[in-house]
Amino acid sequence: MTKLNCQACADFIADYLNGDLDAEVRASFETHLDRCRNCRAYIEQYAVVVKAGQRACERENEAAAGAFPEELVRAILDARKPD
Amino acid sequence: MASPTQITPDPEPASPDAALLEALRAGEPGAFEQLVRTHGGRLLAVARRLLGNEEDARDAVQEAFLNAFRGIDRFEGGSLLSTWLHRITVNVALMKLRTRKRKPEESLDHLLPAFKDDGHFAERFESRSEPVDQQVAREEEQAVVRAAIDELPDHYRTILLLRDIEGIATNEVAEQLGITPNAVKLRLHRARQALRTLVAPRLGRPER
Repeated sequence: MTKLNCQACADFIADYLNGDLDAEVRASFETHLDRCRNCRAYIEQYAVVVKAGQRACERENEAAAGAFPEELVRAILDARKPD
Repeated sequence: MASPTQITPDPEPASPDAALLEALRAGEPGAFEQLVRTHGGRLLAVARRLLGNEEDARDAVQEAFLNAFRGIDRFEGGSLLSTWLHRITVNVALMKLRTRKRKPEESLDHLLPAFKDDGHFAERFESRSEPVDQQVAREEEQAVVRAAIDELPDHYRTILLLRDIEGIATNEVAEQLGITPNAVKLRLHRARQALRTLVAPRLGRPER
């Protein structure tokens, strides 16, 4: 099994979190994580940032869903009418 | 070892939107207005994120709806109407981004992690005692990350928004932006790393 250091692991984080690593690399990655607290903390922060961004934008979408400007509704419907 | 944390958006469940679609195809009065009122707000939020200003976002949503009205007969119902409209809006927004004066690509290197000669991180990072889901659920955390997304250089912000927020597949993003799928993956990873670097001190995570 290939031994990975932190720098190599950092390159694989996205594929790891997506479940896209092949079995051998994944095993090497997880072996490194088991003994590297710093990498575990880095990956946790990376995942939290991605998910918090997604959640923030979901909330943004929900807030916008009920607040579509009336003048834009009219502009869209008027633009659709034939001249 | 815990299983990996899934970080791609959940796909929407299939639903036919049958009644509205039938009314749209029949040209029934009120159907188009219903479509606009039902979906306009969310589409405007998408366009605002991608384009960064209200005027361009409104133009993009209007153009997207007009494209949708013209193409309603070609909508085969294989996805939700909301998904179809979302895709049209994203495409219109990207088209608008392409017509803007191109800025030179900004470097992100100062926001990427540094490593020692032996391959260890140069900084120390701290885990929180609370689970990831609890951290993510905090509105303060979300607000800080959301603000930092807008600070990313354009080339990285667009890819992060398309992949992580709008859920567009890597190959499609690559095609839309005229770059390789591997370049999309690399830029997405760098954008996420930069985002982590930006938010860490703001969330009380000074690095040592």
